[in-house]
Amino acid sequence: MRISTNLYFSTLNQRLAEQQNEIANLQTQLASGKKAATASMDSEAAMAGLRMNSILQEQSDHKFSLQGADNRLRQEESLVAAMQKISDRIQELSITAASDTYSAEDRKMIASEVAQYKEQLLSYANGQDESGNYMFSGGASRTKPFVLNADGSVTYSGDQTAINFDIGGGEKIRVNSIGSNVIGNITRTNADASTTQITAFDIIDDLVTALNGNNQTNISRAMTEAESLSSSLVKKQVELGISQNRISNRLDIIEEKTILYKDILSKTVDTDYTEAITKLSANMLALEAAQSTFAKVSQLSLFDYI
Amino acid sequence: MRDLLSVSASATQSYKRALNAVQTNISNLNTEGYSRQKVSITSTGASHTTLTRAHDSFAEGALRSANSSLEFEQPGTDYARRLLNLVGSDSGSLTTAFDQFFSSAKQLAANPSSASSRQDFLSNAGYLAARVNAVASELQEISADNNAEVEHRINQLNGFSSQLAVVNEELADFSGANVPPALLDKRDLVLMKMSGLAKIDVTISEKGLASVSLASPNGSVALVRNTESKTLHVSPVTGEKNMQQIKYIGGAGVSADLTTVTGGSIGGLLSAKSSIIDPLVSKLNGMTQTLATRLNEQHAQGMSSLGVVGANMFSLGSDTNYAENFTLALTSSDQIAAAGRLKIAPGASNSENLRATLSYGENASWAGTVEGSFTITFSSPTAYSVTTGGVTTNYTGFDINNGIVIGDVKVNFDRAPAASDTFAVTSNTSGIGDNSNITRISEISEESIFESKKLRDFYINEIGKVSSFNNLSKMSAEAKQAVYDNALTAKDKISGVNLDEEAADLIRLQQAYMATAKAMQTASDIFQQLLRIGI
Repeated sequence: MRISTNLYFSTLNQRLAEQQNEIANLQTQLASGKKAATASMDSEAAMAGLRMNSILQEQSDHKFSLQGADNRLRQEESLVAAMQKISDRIQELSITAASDTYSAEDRKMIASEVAQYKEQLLSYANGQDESGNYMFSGGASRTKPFVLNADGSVTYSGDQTAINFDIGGGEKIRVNSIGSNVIGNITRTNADASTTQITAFDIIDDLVTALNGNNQTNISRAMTEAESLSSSLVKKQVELGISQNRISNRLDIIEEKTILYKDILSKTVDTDYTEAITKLSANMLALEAAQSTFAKVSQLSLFDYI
Repeated sequence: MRDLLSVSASATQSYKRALNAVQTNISNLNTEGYSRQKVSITSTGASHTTLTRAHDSFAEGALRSANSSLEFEQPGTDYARRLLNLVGSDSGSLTTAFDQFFSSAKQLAANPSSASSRQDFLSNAGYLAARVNAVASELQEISADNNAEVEHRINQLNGFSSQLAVVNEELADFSGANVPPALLDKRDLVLMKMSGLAKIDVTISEKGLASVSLASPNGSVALVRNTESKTLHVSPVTGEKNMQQIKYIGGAGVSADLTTVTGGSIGGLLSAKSSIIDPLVSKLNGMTQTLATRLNEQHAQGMSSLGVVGANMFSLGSDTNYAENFTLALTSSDQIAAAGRLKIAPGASNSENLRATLSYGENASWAGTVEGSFTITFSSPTAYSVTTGGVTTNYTGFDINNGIVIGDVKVNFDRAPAASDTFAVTSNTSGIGDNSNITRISEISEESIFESKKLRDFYINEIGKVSSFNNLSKMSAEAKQAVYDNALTAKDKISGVNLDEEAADLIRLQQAYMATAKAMQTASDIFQQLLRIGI
């Protein structure tokens, strides 16, 4: 078949340019470490990369929430544990004081110790986190939850709002306890068998009065009430422990997911060096062959022989 | 004797002419659109030469059509590449801005009273708006570039039309046989260039005059008829940003709309505009509108740390270019409504462990003001009363699945309440530690409200559409390149110049010339010899 000199050269040129293009592409891959230096070079990889980056960001957000939740729950737990110690001590003292061997004077001495615990309990119940938020005041985190009134009574000023953290997978975890529930839900059975809700502060106040007044019935009553307070605080700690356990399980899952997604991301967007280098040397060989044959073949012309 | 001399003389003339043609071929080796010239020598006696232009009009037509198809694909891949690099790159993609926005919302949810988290959220909201604006204006720039390129190509097409009319005029002056080959080459070159710009129908008259018309879906439009040419012009569509229309000026100066030009680079540009650029612009606007509306709606269900209901978080401007006008409306971090706008408190002596939560959005015409406080009191597990502003209303038939709806608010219970349980709902003005509304805002990233897709998936899906257009164009261009190469080879086989062939011809003709010259000399020798004998 006839082939014109022009077409012959332009075809050869085109092939050489294609080879060079391929080599430049591979070189960019090797230099940038990415399969697609620009999104248009490999749009599928770029899209998968965006998706993976987004998912990784989500994992790191959940991790942040979980660590925040864990932090809060630990602080809460330590405060609740401290309150429980006070409650245990009050129970212990009321058992001691209830003993017939104690005189009225002895009971007054115990009363002075019990009275001191009120202030300590108040400071635990008004505990704050590192940013100054009250732990037990619900959503009103800048409002002091337990206020000591002039008459010695304590009122709860926080609200009942539950605070939940989103920890991924549609799961939410409650991170706050309402102060009035933690130390305010003790049931007192009155003499007429009716019941009223009292707070830990009421137990202390009434025990102090009973000790000072040498009222053995009420001292025994405080014993039961302190016991029920202790057990409710223990229950709270168990609840907090379960939540912390959930958090640590979640963190493990997130850790695994993160490693998995990072691996997928790397496989999608990062250059496979072995593959790229092998391809590059193959292409370079082909280009060299094309160049040397081009140089030789293009010298062939009948005009050289005329 | 006379015969030998005259035959030889005529032959030398013929070979000289043939050699001249070889010379012309060699010197036009690199001339664009040049067709090889051949001299054929006929007759045995006094030789007769004809100069022909090596040319096949079918090969030429096939190449023109392949050229239109090939040129059509290029703008598609060019614009798809630009769009992909704009919206799909790691740094340019809006997914990064989305991620940062929702991530800062989640961080704020983990610490709603923190001033730095609030400030961070506000900055990221501002960044989101700025990124969307930047992408939108880049898109408009690409759209404007496409328009300018269409106009430029239309002008080129007009230029070729008038050139062709001039060539036609010159062709009309010659009678069929002695048309200079160069003029025909010129005609075919102009036609080839026109076919690169748009798909054209060509008819060649007996005298070689070319008439050109554009194949358009609404009928064929004559661009060149004999020595007359018509022009196309481009005018913007009023009221639409970066939209334009190609108009055709008819015989009486009446302009008519050309719905579209098919084939060629103009067709390719128009197709890139209507298939990927315009849809992307409109999807981005739609996405921005949905996002801003949903965020504003959710924000209004919250309480800011200033103790007022959340104001609009973003504004969208007055026209439909939402993505360009999308701006952050909040000015201070105190205005962020992270808390729920109401709070609920179960009564102190309620049955144990009963929790009640609030949700909003029950009343579409809710005016954005906080409802007055109210108290719900259960008289039995199925009957309750609502007290608001000192007025008590009794209700029966309580169903835990439906909760209790009051105005825009719904009270949900996690288990059935018992008789004498009470719940007090009040304005949440001091709930700075409440994260319920910012949590809901952070969850918008998971809502399938963008054409039934999540925000991120919707956006990536739009990139995917451009990407598959790009892949299709690329594949199509490869196939069309093969067709074009074939057509070019076919045409070249006939019209192209091969130097080796010309060299061989040169030697062959030179030898023939020398031989005929020698024959002339022989004739002269014979004549001399005869004279000597005759004396």
